[in-house]
Amino acid sequence: MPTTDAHVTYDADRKTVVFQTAGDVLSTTADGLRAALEDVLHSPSVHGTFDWLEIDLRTAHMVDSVGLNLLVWLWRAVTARGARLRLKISSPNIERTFRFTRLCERVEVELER
Amino acid sequence: MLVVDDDPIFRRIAESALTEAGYEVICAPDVSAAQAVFDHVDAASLACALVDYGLPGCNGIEFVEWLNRRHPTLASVMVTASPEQWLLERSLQARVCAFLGKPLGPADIRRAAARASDITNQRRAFAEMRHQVEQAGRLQKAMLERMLRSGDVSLEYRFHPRYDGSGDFLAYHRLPGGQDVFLMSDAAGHDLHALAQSAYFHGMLSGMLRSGQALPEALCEYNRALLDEPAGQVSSVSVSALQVHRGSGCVSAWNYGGPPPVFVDGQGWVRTIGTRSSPPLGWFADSEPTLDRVEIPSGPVWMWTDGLEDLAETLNASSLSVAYSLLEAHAGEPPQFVAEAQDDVLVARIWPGAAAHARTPEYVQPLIAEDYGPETIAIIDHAQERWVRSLQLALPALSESVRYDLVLCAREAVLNALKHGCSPQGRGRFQVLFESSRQLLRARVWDPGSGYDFDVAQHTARDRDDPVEDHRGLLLMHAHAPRVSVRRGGAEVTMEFPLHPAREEKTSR
Repeated sequence: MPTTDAHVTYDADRKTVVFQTAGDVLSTTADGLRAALEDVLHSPSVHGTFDWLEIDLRTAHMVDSVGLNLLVWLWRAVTARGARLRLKISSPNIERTFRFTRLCERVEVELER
Repeated sequence: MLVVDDDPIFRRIAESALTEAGYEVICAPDVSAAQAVFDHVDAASLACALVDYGLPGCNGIEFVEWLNRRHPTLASVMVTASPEQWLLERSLQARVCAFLGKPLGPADIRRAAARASDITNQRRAFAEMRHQVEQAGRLQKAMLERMLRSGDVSLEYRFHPRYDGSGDFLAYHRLPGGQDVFLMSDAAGHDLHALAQSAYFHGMLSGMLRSGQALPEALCEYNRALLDEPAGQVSSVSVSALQVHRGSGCVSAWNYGGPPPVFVDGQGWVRTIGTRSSPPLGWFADSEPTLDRVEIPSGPVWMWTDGLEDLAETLNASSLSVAYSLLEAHAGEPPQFVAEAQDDVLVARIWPGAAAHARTPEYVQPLIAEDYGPETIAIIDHAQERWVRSLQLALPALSESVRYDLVLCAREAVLNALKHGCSPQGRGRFQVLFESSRQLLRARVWDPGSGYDFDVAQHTARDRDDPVEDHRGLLLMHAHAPRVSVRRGGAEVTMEFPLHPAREEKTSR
């Protein structure tokens, strides 16, 4: 499984866990990302303490179907905890993917141009 | 011998010493007088220049630099009464071949002059050799131009030899029976030996074909000729030969170790005519070419030498995209990436079915044609980088969003084919073709599997109600590709991407 270069911080004021990842969300990187995200979700230090999970994907240029499935899984997991998911992106192409697949109707998508 | 010194005593000593050594000596007291010598003396008759640094007006270094510009083969010796380190360094920068401190005896002067004279001779021999190589290269290009612009044939080509001469060549022959033969050859190496071998090959083949010998026999004959070369000399020539039989409407290709010709078949798939699994001419007495025969394609046939494939590898792009980029570039202005070629590059687009000077019909330009097996799944990111680079090279003005859509959909389709339709024995195909008349890119994926039924509309509706986690790749393809068509239960997928899509707003197709 490829290693994932992720950085996790907790913003207590906004009750938001920020998960910053580097690179694309693809079939070749999704497993590593999923493992890292599971660690975050099951971590005793954040469990039940956040309203928002924010995934910073601003360095990603592509999200493929396996990457999308990962985000759908994450949305389910976060929603089940009573929290919400926010995706920060900088690629208009990824924004189109989220729009075409209606993912943006279920999670908050912030496009930073 | 030219002696430039404002000191009359040194001029006399030098003149006397050099005359005694058999030189004819011309003396000048300053730079303008020395420059004026070249108005009435042929520079090629001078053996060297003995130049004092401390001259009135401009100094000796400036005169040597002037000589280097005007008569670069003439060697110079710097003499000075102040042989300091900085002047030595400056003189070396000015390419002097000796640096001598005064006082100098006649023997010192003669020794330095003899050495400089040798260097002048070496430089002249080298310049002459270079001139001859350049002439050979120019002649090769002129012959290529004359042969391929003969008016009997419709083709375009680009030739980028690594040096002046090259082992690559493309010849065209109209045989007595009216058949056309195209011979793309690559003699091993990219030096004068390769150029001579190439010229010999085409001369011999030309004679044999024009005297009625059949192409396969002529190639065998040349193989024997190469094997008859003196022991210790191994020469080889890779050949890809195309023969157009207008009467029977077929094209035959014989291939000895070269990249096989490429065309787009009636079903729109990129194909090669034959393979390259044969050694080049000159290796083995019993070498057999690969042979294939197809109907004359409605579009062009592409041929290139392996230098193009090496260049494509260096650029991490497909050979087809590099070929297209080269052929579309203006002949005198090759794309910058050509500088990265480590070998000669020759590429041609031949219209075997079109009459010469006829307006060539609209055709489909293949940009990517690759075969993949399951092992590609692990390196799909690398394959994807190659597709991106290929599209950037071939269509630099292609918008990022169209490229993204194509590459994303291709990734999904190829992975789907590799996971569900391929095996180590049954490989899948991925091809991208460009229709310039419709300004359209077409991506095609084929696998040998049987496919399966899949209702996209139903699945999309289900996904809309509650996001699904299966078949998302297919949904993504249908969302990002403006047009998708499938055959054989999805084992053949064709996706079309207009270069200038209408302003779309396609939420969740």
